[in-house]
Amino acid sequence: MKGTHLGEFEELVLLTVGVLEDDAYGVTVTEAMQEQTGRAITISTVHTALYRLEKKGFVSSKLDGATKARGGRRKRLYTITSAGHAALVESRGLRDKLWGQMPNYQFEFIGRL
Amino acid sequence: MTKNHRSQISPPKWANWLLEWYCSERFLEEVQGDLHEWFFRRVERQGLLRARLLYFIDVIRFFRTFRLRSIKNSKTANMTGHNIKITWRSLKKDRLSAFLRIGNLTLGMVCFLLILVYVNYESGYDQYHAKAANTYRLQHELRGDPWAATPVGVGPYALENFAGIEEMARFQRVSRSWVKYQDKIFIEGDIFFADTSAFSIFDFEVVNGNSEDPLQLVHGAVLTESMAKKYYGDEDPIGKEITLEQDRGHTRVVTAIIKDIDPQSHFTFDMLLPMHVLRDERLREFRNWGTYTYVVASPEADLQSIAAGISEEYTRQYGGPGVQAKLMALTDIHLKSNAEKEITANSKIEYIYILSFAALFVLVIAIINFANLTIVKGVSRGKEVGVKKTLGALRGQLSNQFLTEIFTIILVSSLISLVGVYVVLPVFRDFSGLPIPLTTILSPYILLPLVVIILLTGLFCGYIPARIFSGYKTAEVIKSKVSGDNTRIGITRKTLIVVQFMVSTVLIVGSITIYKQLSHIQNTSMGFDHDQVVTVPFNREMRQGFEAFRQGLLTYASVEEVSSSSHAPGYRIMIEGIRKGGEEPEDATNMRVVAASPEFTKAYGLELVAGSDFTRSELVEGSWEFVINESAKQELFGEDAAVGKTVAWGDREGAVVGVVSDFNFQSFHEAIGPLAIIRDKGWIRYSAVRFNATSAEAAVEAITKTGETVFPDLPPIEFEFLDKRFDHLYLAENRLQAIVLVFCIISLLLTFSGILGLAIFIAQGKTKEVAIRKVLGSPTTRIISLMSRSFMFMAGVSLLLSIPTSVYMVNWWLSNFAYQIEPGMGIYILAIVSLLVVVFLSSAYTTIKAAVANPVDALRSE
Repeated sequence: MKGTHLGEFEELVLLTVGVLEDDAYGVTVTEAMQEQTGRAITISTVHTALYRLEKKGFVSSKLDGATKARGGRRKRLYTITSAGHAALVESRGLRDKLWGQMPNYQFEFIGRL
Repeated sequence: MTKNHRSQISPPKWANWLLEWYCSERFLEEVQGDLHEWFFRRVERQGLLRARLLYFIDVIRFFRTFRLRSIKNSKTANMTGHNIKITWRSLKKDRLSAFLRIGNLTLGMVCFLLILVYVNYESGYDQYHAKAANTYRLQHELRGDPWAATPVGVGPYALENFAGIEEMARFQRVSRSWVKYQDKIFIEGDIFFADTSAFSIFDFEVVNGNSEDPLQLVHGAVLTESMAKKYYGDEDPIGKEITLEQDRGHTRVVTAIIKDIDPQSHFTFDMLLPMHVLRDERLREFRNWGTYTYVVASPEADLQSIAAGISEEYTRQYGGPGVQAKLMALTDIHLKSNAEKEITANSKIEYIYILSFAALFVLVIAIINFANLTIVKGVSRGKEVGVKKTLGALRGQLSNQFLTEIFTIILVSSLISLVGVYVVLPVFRDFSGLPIPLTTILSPYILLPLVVIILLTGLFCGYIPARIFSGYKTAEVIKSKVSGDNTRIGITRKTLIVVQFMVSTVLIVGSITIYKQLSHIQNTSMGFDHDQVVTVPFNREMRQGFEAFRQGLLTYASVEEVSSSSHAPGYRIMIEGIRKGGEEPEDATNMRVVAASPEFTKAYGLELVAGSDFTRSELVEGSWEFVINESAKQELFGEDAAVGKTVAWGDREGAVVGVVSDFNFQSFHEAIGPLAIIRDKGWIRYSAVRFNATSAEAAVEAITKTGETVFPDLPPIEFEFLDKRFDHLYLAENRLQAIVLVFCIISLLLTFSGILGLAIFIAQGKTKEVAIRKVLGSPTTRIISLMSRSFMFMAGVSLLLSIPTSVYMVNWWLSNFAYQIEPGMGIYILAIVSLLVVVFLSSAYTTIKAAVANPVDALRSE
């Protein structure tokens, strides 16, 4: 169970990797997540999440693409695997199922308008 | 940080270095790359300074265990592992050397740590009170003689007249008497009256009952836990009654139970009674000096002006100067106060010094041994260095190898010595009588010095030799040209040996002196026959029965004489003013005064040198008789005859009937002072029973039986053999003597093993020389003298240096005693001879072995 569980943060990272297609690595994932969520996200947490996702088999990686800004160092580029995609679909299905059962709440707005 | 600002925008170097240091190579490239990229984006958005700071924070954040560099793959770790392996092999290869080195160092460390534990305990007295740092005992000096006790009134005076004194509490001992609860009755000696403020100044922990103000109730009593257990068992003692002899029929109520007083205190007690039972005028008197007064001063108080102010009050009260007030820091009392009327006997800082010096010396000897053996061992491994160098080993690597080896041995020794201290401490605890907790070993006061020892020993014994050995020239070592006597190593080694001999000599001389002085104390004639006397303390209720007790005892054949007195030799004797008849009271001479029954001199076996003993017939009311000792005669009458002259003590005036020879009625630390014995059989606090030399047990039986008959309602009678009492007075000296003896033996052992080790290795290096000499016809004796010569020379040099040092130290120490031995030549000769014998034996042993061996064996292999 623990081996394949997808945490909330990990799900976001996995989604971002999917969105970024061929250019997903530490810096771009962090940046995209900061823009999308508006949360302060540190690069080290993203790195750790990426390692875990790879261990679970949801992403694969290769070393490539050295640039000058990196001092000639290569980056670890991540791509989503089919298992990763399936996990995302499953997670979304679970949410949709729960949304379907949600009653139609009518919240009153008090003191605001 | 701003230095690189213009020239180059880059992440901080040291943060990079940190990252490279901890991060394994597997992750380094991507992490560092991402961080760099991230850094440049940050520079644009947030500026260089912030970016650099954040870069560093990110480096720290990346610190995760899975990213850590594996230890197995690191280069230094690899070399360390290799070096430890080599260390192990070289230790195994030469077991004797390994044993000598580790054994020496461990023995030295155990001695040192043990004494450190002891010193740490002794110097930590009374520090558990929160206000200890600002607490002082008010005491005074009477014409230069320190007194621990004060008049009862000086406390309130100080508290009311000096702003710097914030709190004050007094203690006053209740004289030895019985305490009773229902059918339980015991004699107790450690009961004190105390002010209620005692609980505010001292941290006595109330575990049961009134914890707000335990001494508030006038007829209350505060007991320690073990005292409560003794009288009440498992009952709840609070509110129960308790009867004390001194309350004359009234009963008290137990108000609170406190934890037993920490034995690390300069005095302990079993029970406290409220002092304010006395009227306020009584508590302000300046008459008797029997109260212990403690004050808390504010940190900025001017202690000297307070003491001066109190001294002025003494002058006013006593109508003249002579009494100087002093404030003694609470935490100093145990080691530094040796005043008249101390509550309990304190320790002496001199003993701490002696033991510290001895321990330090032993440690130094051990370290020097270790250094010497290491150096010699290193020399014999010159070839290993040579071969390694030929194969391309760097100097740093070789030096690292030696350092690893030495630190490994030192660490192993210190671990063994910690275990050793743990094992020996219980023995030491029984022996010293100090309840030192086992956990002391792990306190920073012990571990920090141990770390310092490890580092210093490592540097001293490791770094210098490592530099020398790793610097060998390859060709020279292989040709064995480095171990000669006049090389750097030879000179270092010789210096160390000379220093070691010196330290050993000083330690040996010191030990013998201390040993002799301490036995002198016990063997010197006491001036009276003290081993056939039993002292029986008498309390108030027993006094009426003294005559019956005496008569009852005298019916036994084993008892020779029974006397009564106000004070007894071996216990404190009061100091009073005695003057010649006709002189004014101001001219009185202070001396010890005993009021005694006429049998006193016979019971204690005092020796009359002039006049006669007290007359046995009843004296006319108002007339008195005195017997004085020779010192008192000298003080009062000089060379004139004293017998027949009148002397006076207060309003008691009478003739001196006899003079007794000086006898040692106190401790040998003090010279025998003048003493006057006044015939007064009414003042009975002690009885002395003199028995036949052969019938100690019969005397004990007689005393016990007579006690039961005469005092049927009182607890069993207490008594003490006077010689035991004097032994007890010298308990500290006896222990010191034993410790010093052990140290002396250990230091000789260390010196012996050190020289033996050296001699073995040097002889090993000279096997061929010896063999060739033999082949060429040199006699064995000649070879031995040739080989021992350089050791003997070094011993000679060190003796020249060490004898003056030890003479100085010995004289300093002896000056503390009233009765000194003459150090004399004997001690020095003994020390010199024992050192030379040790040197000769250890060096000769190996040379003889080499000299009688078949030279062919040594020369066969080349």
